[in-house]
Parts: sequence; C-alpha cells; structure tokens
Amino acid sequence: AWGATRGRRVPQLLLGWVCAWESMASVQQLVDATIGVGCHAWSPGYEQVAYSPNSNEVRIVDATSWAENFRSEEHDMVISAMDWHPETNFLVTCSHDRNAFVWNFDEKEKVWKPSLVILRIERAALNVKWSPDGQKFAVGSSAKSVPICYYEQDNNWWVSKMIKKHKSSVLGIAWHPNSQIVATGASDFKARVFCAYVAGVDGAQVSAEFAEPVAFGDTYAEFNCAGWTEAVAYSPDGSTLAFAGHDSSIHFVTFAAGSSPVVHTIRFSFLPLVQLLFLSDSKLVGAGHDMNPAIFEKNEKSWAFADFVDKKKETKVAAGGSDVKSRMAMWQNKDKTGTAAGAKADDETAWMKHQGTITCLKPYKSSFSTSSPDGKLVIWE
Amino acid sequence: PDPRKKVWMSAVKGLLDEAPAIMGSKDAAAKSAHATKVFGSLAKLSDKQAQEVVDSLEPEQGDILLKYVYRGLETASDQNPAYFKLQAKLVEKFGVGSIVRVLADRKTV
Repeated sequence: AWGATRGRRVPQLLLGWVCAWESMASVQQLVDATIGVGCHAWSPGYEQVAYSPNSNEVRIVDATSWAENFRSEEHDMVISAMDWHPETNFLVTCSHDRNAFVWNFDEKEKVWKPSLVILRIERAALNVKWSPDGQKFAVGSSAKSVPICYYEQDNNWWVSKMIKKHKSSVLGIAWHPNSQIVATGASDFKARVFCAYVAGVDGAQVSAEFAEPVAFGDTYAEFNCAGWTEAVAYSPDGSTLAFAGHDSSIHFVTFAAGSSPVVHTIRFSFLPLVQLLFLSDSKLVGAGHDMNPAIFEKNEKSWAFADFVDKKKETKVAAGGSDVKSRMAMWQNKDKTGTAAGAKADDETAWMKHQGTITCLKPYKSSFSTSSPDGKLVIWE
Repeated sequence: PDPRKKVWMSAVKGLLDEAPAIMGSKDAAAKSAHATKVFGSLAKLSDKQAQEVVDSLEPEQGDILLKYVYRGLETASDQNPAYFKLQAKLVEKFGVGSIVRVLADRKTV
C-alpha cells in the first residue's frame, strides 16, 4: 500500500493541510515566510496550538481547521517564548518587553484572561517553561538571571524569585521532573543545575540524585561548554541532562546518587542545535540551523547520533547515459550553469520541510513538532 | 614515493598533538612559532600525502588542523591554493561542524 501512495499528494477536504507520505510529517504554513513563527505551544489535548508570528501577538488556532480562535496584543514587544501546561491549561508567554503573561481560559465567559507577571528583569525575557507540576514557571532572560515565578494566593498574583549567578544571557531552561530543580544554559559557556525549591509552593524539599539539598538559587552542578549553551533538556526520569553548544556539540550528563556526574561529549559534523527535547530516557531530538531534526539515541552505555528525521525523497534521476542526447544536455548545463547536472539538481536544502532554522521544538503526543522563521509548523511522526 | 617524505606526515600529526597546550595559553609568540612549524610541514606534503594525513586524523585533530588552515589563509601566500584544497578535504571528512568550531572556539591557534 505504501508503494502505491508514495509521491502522490492526497487531496484534503480540510483547508491548508499538505500531507507528505514520504517523510511522515505534516506541514502547515501558519504565516508567510516573510513573517515567520517565533514560537508555538500545544493545548493540553493538542486540539489547539498557540503561536506568535514574530511579533507581540499571541494567536491561538484550531489544530484541525486552522481557524483562528483567539488573538491578542497584550505584550509590547516581540514574544520570545511560550509554554502551555498540559494539566492546568495555563498558557505563559514571555517577551522582549521584560514581562510575562499567564493566560487563563475562563470557562464561563469563554475568554482568555491575561495576568501580567512582573519579572523584575531589566532586559528581555528569552525563554519560559512551566515546571512539570504546573505550579511555577522559569524564565530565561538577557539580564543574566532566571526569575522563578509562582502564584501567591493571598495577593492573587504571580511573584518572581530570582536565580542569579549567570554571567551572560540565559538561553535555555529545563525543569527536572521533580519540579524543584531547574537546569539552565547560558551564553557564558556554561550549563548549570539550580535549586528552585520555593517553600510554601513545593512540598518537602528533595534533592534527587544530589547528595544534599541546597538553598534556592544555589547551584547543584555546573558544566563547561566550548560554545554558547543554547539549549538544555532533562530526560523524563531526571537521570540525564543534555545541553547543546554553539560549537556544534551536545553533552549528555548522567547523574547517579552517590557518585559525581559523568559527562559524555559529542562533537558532530553538522550545524549547531538550538533546541533539545527528550522523546524518552534513551532518545533525544535536537533541532537547529540545519533545519532538520536530529535524533540521538542511547545504546547500552553511551549516546550517539542516530539519524536526521527529514529525508530526501529518492528522485528518479535520468541515468547519465552515454547517448548523444544526454551528453548534449550535460554540456548545455555546464555552459549555462557551471555544473554538469544543472542548477536545481544540487540544491541541498530545497527538499526539506523547513526552510529556516528551527527555533521552537515542542512535544506533540508521542512525537514532536517544530516551528521556524519560515512560517511553518511541522508535526513529525 | 620517497620514504623520507613520509617524515613530514607524522611531523604534521605530532605538531597537531602538541597544539592543545599552545591553544590554551595566551602567548601570542608561542602560537605564532608553532603555527610557522605547522605551515612549514604542510608545505612539504604532496597532494596525495595531504589526503592520507586527512584520512588518518581523529576528529579533534581534524578540528585543530582546520584552525591552522584558516590561520594560514589569513595572509596572502603561495601556500594558499594548497590550503584551500586542504580545507575542502577536511570539510568533506569532518563536516561543517568543524568550521563552526573554528569560529566558535575561544581557544585559538
């Protein structure tokens, strides 16, 4: 059955869907490539997706009909990141305007209500992630600090508590599954693991694989990176921390109670990754400037690059026969374009789903989705 | 093939192995001196030998050699055509990631 359908675009009744049978991915052009998608986030049941078109707008669209359900311009400047918690249904957005908004969907009035969160940073917010239990969120900022925000019931608003210690912009944020430990990646060439325990919000303090619990804002561990640490990610069981460096490297740190962390560095041959996501405890996907998600897998003891997800469809290239016609064509191509195969043949990236650096990577059901300044949202199988 | 010429291939590899210590320091004179030695050894390699050297390199050594190639290309010299060929061979084996590391690594040659 696959052989019969390969290469044939199946017409869709729904607007805008293009289903590529070859590489098992769904591509949706959310906005024009001249605008681009800055970031996106899925609703708890994946029926809606929120995104920002590289501006101060939040848009929420239906994931099947792509009809726009909501649009708002609460932020003053471009929205750098957003995160939608799968249980609380809170959407948090952060922006270069140094603020964050927590959006709450009022079921009675059927509207989204934003709550401003004063982060108390004097530079742009770059990244935001909900803790796994949905009680706090962490914001990475250019102000070299990470506000950890939680809801204060008495005052009915969100307050921030600052993690400092960074020497430069904080580019990546990842929560440990216990919601009390957070890892950060910064452009000061380091990845750090901090305590984000907030008494009154979290229950009893736990220190996971670390010997002793420390105070809020203190480091549990620090790791070096030869390039800016663009992204960090924790495995689902919390035993492995991955961070990606701008020097085309990825590092896997394995934590075990009672022993020091073990770092495994992989310097790869392709362009740097800027986003990381663990698909399981032994599988990680990274995405970045190659516009193609890269899978890393853990085999027995160590991690290694497995494959790129997007694959070039095998095209039936006219075999370089030795008959007169093909030789004529070859010489004509060499005359016109300088290469024997012709101008389009060697186009190394035109076949890819994404035509721009992948800047946002989110979990989608058991797989993942990516968005890029090329304006596309791609769901990968 | 002159067996004496093989000496230069292992000389290049030896110099690459010594490089990390020099890269880590801030001594510009030491870096310059070591670079001159590397360029001198590279000049003695034929095209085929250069290919052999590249084939036998580990990724870390490949990154270091690429850094020297880029340093060599910074000044106009008769060696530049050879450096361009060497750069192409190195990138073919180690990928654009090695070029990214030439640009991103704060430890320079």
